[in-house]
Amino acid sequence: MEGDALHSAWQQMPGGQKPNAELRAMIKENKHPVLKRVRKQLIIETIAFTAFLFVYYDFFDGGRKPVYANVLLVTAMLLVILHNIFGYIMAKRSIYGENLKQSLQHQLAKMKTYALLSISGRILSAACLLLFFTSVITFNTPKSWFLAGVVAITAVQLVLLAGVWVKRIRQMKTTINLFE
Amino acid sequence: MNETEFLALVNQHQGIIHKICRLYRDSPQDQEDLFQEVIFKLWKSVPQFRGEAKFSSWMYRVALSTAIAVYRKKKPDIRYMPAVPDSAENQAQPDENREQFFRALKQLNDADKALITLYLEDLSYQEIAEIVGISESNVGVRLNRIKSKIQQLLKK
Repeated sequence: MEGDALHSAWQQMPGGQKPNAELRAMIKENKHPVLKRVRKQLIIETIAFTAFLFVYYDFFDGGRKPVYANVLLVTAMLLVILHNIFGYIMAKRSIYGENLKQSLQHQLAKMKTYALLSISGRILSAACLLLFFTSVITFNTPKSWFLAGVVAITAVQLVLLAGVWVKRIRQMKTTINLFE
Repeated sequence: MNETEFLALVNQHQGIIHKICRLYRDSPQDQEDLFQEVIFKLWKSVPQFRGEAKFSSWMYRVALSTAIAVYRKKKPDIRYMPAVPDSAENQAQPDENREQFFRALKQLNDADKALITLYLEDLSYQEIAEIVGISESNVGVRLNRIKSKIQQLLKK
């Protein structure tokens, strides 16, 4: 296919035409499918964690644990909520940059920031939860092994999460390098 | 730019956004999702549009950036038909040359897809260079390579 034939084939491709009403709905934040999902998750988690905070004192003997352990538990919950809020803000941000390459570089920087906050947030949250539940435990050998198992499983999950982000970031870097 | 002006401009240019979505996504559902994401990002990015460049140039940049940057999970393109066709003759026969050409375009990498899209939209090398952020000579070299690649893909 020569140049003219390429142009002709491209021009003849059906473009699609959505009505104005549909386009208008697409610019509304409350109609955006990803933002709607994140908002719903935020609301459900906030309600669930708030309910949990009301009952944990009895269910998990919050009164018998040191104050710092209770603070850590609340911190763990807040970190999860903050993570979702941050994700929501990132998802609705505009595209910056003078050109396509700059826009992609900016998006890559955003991705790295979110990945770092996501992984460190999970680590801190897991650490806070573990410290709360182990704060008044006197460890013997079986309990130590159990704790080691929990830490190992958490570590594997974090490594998998980090792997997902590393792959995405690498893909983006590769694409940006293709423009060099 | 207010909402009405924005929607009028988007309406005028939405054909190319549809083509970009078809090029960068495989399934009709993913194409619809990307289309919505592009429109949303365009609206959110309106404060950055200073009016110095053409609306279409700015729109290409945002649309291509969204198509490339938004993460998509790799999944097989499974489409459920309402009924099993009786025979090959009863199925609609799309323009085979056009489909073959489009299949070749889809095999290009994301950067090449962006360059060839802008070229096929009749933008000059200078305009393409400004939108993408590479030199004009680089655009020329890259486009020659891409066109050769497309020819080879079409011969297969």
